[in-house]
Amino acid sequence: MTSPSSIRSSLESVLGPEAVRDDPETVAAHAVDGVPPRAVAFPGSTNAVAEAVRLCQRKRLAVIPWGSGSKMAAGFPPERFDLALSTARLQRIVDMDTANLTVTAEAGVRFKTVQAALSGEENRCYLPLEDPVTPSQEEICPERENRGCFIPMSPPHSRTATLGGIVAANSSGPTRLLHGLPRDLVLGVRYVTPAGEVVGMGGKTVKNVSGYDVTKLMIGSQGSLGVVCEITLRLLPLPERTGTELFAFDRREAACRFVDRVFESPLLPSAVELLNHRACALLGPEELDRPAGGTWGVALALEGVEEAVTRMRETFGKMGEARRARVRLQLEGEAHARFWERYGHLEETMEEAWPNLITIHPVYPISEYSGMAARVDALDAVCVLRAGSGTGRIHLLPPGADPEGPEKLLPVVERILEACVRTGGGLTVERAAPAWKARLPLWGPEPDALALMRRIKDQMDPDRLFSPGRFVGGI
Amino acid sequence: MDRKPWIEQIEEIVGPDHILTSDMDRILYGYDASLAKGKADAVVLPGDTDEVSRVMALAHRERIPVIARGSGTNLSGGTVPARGGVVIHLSRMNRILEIDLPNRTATVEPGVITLDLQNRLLRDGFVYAPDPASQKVSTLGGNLGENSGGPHCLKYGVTTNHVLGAEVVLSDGTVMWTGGKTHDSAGYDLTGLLVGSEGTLGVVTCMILRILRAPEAVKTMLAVYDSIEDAGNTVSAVIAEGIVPATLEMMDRVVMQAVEASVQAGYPLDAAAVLIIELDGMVDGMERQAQKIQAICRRHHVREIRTARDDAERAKLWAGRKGAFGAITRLKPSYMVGDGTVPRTRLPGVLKRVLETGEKYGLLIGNVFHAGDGNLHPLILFDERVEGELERVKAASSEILKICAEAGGTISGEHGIGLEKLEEMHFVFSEGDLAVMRQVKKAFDPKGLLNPGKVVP
Ligand SMILES: Cc1cc2nc3c(=O)[nH]c(=O)nc-3n(C[C@H](O)[C@H](O)[C@H](O)COP(=O)(O)OP(=O)(O)OC[C@H]3O[C@@H](n4cnc5c(N)ncnc54)[C@H](O)[C@@H]3O)c2cc1C
Repeated sequence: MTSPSSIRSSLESVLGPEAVRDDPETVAAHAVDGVPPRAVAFPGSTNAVAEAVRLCQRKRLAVIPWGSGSKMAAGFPPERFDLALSTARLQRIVDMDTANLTVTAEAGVRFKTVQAALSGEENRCYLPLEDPVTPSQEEICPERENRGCFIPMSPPHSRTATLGGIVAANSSGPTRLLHGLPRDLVLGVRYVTPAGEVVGMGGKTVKNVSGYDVTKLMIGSQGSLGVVCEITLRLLPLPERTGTELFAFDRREAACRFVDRVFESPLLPSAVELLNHRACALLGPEELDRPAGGTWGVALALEGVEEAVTRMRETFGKMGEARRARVRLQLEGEAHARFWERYGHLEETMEEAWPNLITIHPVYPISEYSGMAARVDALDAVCVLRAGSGTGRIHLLPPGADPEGPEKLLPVVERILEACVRTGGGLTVERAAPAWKARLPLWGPEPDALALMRRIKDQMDPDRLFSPGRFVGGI
Repeated sequence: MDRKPWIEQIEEIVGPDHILTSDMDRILYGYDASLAKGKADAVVLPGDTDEVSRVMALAHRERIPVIARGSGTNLSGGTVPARGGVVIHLSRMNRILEIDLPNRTATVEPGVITLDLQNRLLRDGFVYAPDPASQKVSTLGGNLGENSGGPHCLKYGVTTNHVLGAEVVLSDGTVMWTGGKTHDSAGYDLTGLLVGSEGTLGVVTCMILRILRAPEAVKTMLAVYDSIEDAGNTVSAVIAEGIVPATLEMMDRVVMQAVEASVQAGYPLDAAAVLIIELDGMVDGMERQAQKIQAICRRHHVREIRTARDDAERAKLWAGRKGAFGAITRLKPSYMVGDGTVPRTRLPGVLKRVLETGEKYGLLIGNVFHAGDGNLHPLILFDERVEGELERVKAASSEILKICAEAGGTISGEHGIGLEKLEEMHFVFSEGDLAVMRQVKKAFDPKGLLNPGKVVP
């Protein structure tokens, strides 16, 4: 077995001394399920990643790619773990092509950094085009009114999450209702294969059927097939108007009927979130959960042209009234932004407050959301359900100081799993203390195509060096 | 004819009425809408998944190639039995199994004609978004095989964004499901890999599609230009203004003239280009958006803007676009259609080079394209009977793809690689990239029996 110091020195010889650490603090900060790596590498370019991976390949070292660490609690404990391969130094925004509505950035760039950069970026277009043959001078359109673009995603851990991590976990949030999942928004990736080869798939065009769509395979592969180093995403122009409508209902049934009406209408909110009372108390302005307890809240995100947003506000307001909403709050500007920021930060807030938390991501056909809400009603949990998307997040709170606390949550998870499976869905456990993992259905039911997934892993990572044992079926 | 022993075994599986072995049939199934040709050993028309599975298990034992076929309208040689083998024609598996409005899904067999599903859904006020111009004939299985697009993909995405799950038969006859009625599923995104795999990874026997509520309002405009650059600049300017319409389609003079001769869509014959711009969604603010677009058109010297006042007028504006490929044969007996795609802002420059390429090879090229997403369809017109012309067409076509690749684009936006663009794969992929694709193929089809000789060189 290679000793830690020899791992460090051989990595140093390819990456340089500043890019490798094995001091106890750094190593502990990169532990996965309590298992520390023997060293952490911080390569500064895609080619350096490839160098590091080739070295691991030669020495048969087990690698786990590491973004900001926000989603490392998902999955089985690693079978082996030698090197954490951090993307922290892959920080370049390579190309902001707002005229073409694409952005390309390295994997370590934080989501919120790109988003901020894009919102300030002048919209560019290549006008006027006198002579189309010579690559035109990039000029700012003189008469445009609209400014800025955005990545139409609303990922959890939105302050810390890196683009690479979001893509590797196909991680999504409330606005997936209107804009889809990372799998719908990623146009291309450049990544390092387990063999240490840099490959590029997809590109800068929305349409692309040139060869197999390997990009899709990398999205959501949870670090089991290589290191995603560079990502090209689809953008949208910033909407003319945004806003939030918040409602609180005394009864769950009323909240669900309200949500049903929203979906029966021709209106197009970008998110329809159902919040149990604990989520209301955590996320909403104070009024949302007063008097405390029993409430179900509904948060609607609106975006679009002025007239459309105005109509949605009016119509949803009337629908809420008809269902006897106890509270209706209209958020705009800063208040709207702050609300969804808190939303994107919910995971961190929860993790800080309840380190023993179990977080699950249930999956079910979209109409089953009301059944899921009924199931959650009886639980001590912070829960947001993504109505219209067939998913959500349930943070199960371990009961008080009871050392057996988490133990009592295991059957709860099983019951939610059964309910999801009955409707043709499943669940994934996004967070649980390592000690409980062996007894939790971390990836839900075994997928029908598991054998095929194994064959893909065997082809691409025959020595099982990437995140060994962590993914579905112990892949 | 020497009757192969396995033919009888297939007969036992599907019944003697559902296997075709005459010379004529084998030749008929030897080509598709591309220029490539081959010859099948037999054509099988299975009635259900079990039959597909048993036929494929047999083919696996006998090491016979299997080629899945929908309506054969693909434009890349995707259904040509390049190395013989059994063509599995899925036309009998054409049932819409379920429309689940509360869950917004449609479950269909692969042989369902795209338009049949769309018409069925419209009755309930729903749509299946991908709308290839060939929707009257193409099958949903074929759309999956090619990851088809259409005019509305600018706003709604291509086929892959609308397939939630698939039942697939692997080359050894194993049947499995990937994905399902839910929008997330744990594990690798095999559904995403199957879409666009051109029948080389598995034969899809059932699919679950995402459906959407039909938009409340639609507004269709036709903008007429005297210069193709002006039309191209309008496209960039509309997007820069922060408007993403449902469609931004362009046609040049050659195509318009052919269209007018065939469907009389009312396009002006002396114009250089037209744009079809369609907005859809909530009615609110749509008029204002339309006026903004019209102002942009005027800034770019539009000659005339027509707005469809009702469905009939809208259908007429679209008829010309949807009939464009068919109409072009009025000018010459054959055409080869390109499918290169470039970042939208590179369109005008690339277009100019496409026309220069046509001149260089002495070939007439008409252009229809999905301008909004940078997808060109240069139609290279020719007459196969003229000696040497086909060779020049192929050379010109390849050169155009090179131009697209160099402009930061790719060689196929929606028609696939098939047989015709195998060589050009090297324009956009390194050996390392291709090696990864070969690994994918090996995982699904280790013996290489499914649609051999396609997609990956
Ligand atoms: C006039 C015309 C206009 C067109 N317009 C468009 C357009 O606007 N947009 C666009 O994207 N395309 C367009 N096309 C191309 C073509 O129509 C599409 O590629 C279409 O999706 C093919 O459908 P099909 O049923 O004919 O499939 P086929 O041609 O029969 O098959 C296509 C591919 O899919 C595979 N396949 C078929 N069924 C299955 C299955 N069940 N499981 C696995 N693989 C399968 C086949 O092996 C083949 O590789 C056009 C073609 C024509 C002739």
